[in-house]
Amino acid sequence: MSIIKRKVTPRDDAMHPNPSPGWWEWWYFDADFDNGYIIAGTFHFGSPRPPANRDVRFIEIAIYDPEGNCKLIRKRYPKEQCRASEETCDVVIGPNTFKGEIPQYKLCFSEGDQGFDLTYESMVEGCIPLEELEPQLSPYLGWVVAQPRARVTGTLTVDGKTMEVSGEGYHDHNWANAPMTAAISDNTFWGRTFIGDYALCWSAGPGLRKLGYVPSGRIVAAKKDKIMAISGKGTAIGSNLTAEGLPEELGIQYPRDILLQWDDPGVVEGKIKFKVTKMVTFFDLHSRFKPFQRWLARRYIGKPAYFRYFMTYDANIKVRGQKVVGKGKTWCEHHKFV
Amino acid sequence: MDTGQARGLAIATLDFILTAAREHFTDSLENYLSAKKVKLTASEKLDIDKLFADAFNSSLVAEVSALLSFMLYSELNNPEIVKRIVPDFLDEYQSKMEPIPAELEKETKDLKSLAQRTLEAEGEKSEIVKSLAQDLAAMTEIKPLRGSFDAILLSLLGQ
Repeated sequence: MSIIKRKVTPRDDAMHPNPSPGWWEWWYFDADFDNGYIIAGTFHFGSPRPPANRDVRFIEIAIYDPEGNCKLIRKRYPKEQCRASEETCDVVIGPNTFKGEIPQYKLCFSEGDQGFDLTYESMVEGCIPLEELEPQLSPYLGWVVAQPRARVTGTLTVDGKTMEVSGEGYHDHNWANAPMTAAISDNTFWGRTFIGDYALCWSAGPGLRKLGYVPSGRIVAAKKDKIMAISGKGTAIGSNLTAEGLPEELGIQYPRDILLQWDDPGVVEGKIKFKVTKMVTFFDLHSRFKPFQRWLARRYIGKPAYFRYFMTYDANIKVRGQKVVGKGKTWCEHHKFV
Repeated sequence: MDTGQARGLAIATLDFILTAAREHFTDSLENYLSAKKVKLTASEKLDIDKLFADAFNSSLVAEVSALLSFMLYSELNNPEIVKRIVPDFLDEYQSKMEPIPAELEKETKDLKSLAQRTLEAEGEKSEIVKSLAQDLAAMTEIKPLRGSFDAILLSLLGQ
């Protein structure tokens, strides 16, 4: 039985503009295809990363082949070639479109020799996790999980070669009045892990010293088409650090092991152990800064970075008392803020 | 009172303030540890005094000076604040620091080359940006406090 108090409406997945100079908004999607290809990307209004820039419009889409080789397409378009509805999800960035509402979305992307034309059909109901857990946060940070799990079909074009694809994916939508920083956690891991009938969408990290080390975590757990649990009592911790594959001069490391741990008795409890098999995407988030801004940020803030990892998982958790156990392959994002 | 006298008075007063602050911190820490049945020796208290002073000198004095100077410069549009008055204060304060914290020297050692790159970069630069970058580039050895001050202002000025 669903535990959702309020269903997601088309308006929830529309644009939420506000006058803040740091406003940003993104519509995110991903898919794991049966042929081993993976896509993950975002349609951006405003910059979610410092420095703030509410006027920028761009797409950022990664296509991974079965070996984990990444083609990253990041393209900016003038504002006059972009629009987004305030009534429903109807986003246009240059020739690229993201339209629809629960239970169906259409995504069209075409840049040079890369592209796709995909349909996302909901397998699980949508939800608004923060509104369910912490209504007071909603003016500052929006997170609508429109499709915690979706069947994805259509065509994918890689280097000019078009193939029919089918698989499973995810779509959510975030917005905020300031770029993402270490406001809640130094490191936030985000992923969605599909284990049999279960879909687990999670965002978690260790707590900040300045906030008393209180862990920050959100998890949405669904079984078949219903949300069974939403919990904020968990964390994720990376360990066994390495700098493999990164420029040495950056002095940045990432974890080989990630432990997702939940402790909300009767709601969500248990652990998922992840092992990073390949770091497939890396951004140095200070690379766009000018020299002295970079110096200041490095000295007083840290070395923020963004990663995406291919991983294996070993899950042993309970959702509403029901065991969810399994091993397999998955991937996640890591937002390293300091 | 002339500028030099005012600077000397400010530095002497800052010395009193820093001494009081570090002893306040160390005494608070001693009380905290005492409640946990941990006793500090007199030598350990002096070490903690020094750690506090190092933290102040490495991460606060030039930084707070830069932020206040940036606000004053923006409000009064008087470049002397950031080109001369406050940097001279920091130079004189630094001359009384013994020794300069190693971490501060390490963090500021590359500022001269950053300044040279900024001066050589294409694009229009304001007079104040050029002046701060030239100040850094002209240092035969980086003065860590003045260097931090210049660098923070250059960052705030968009460099």
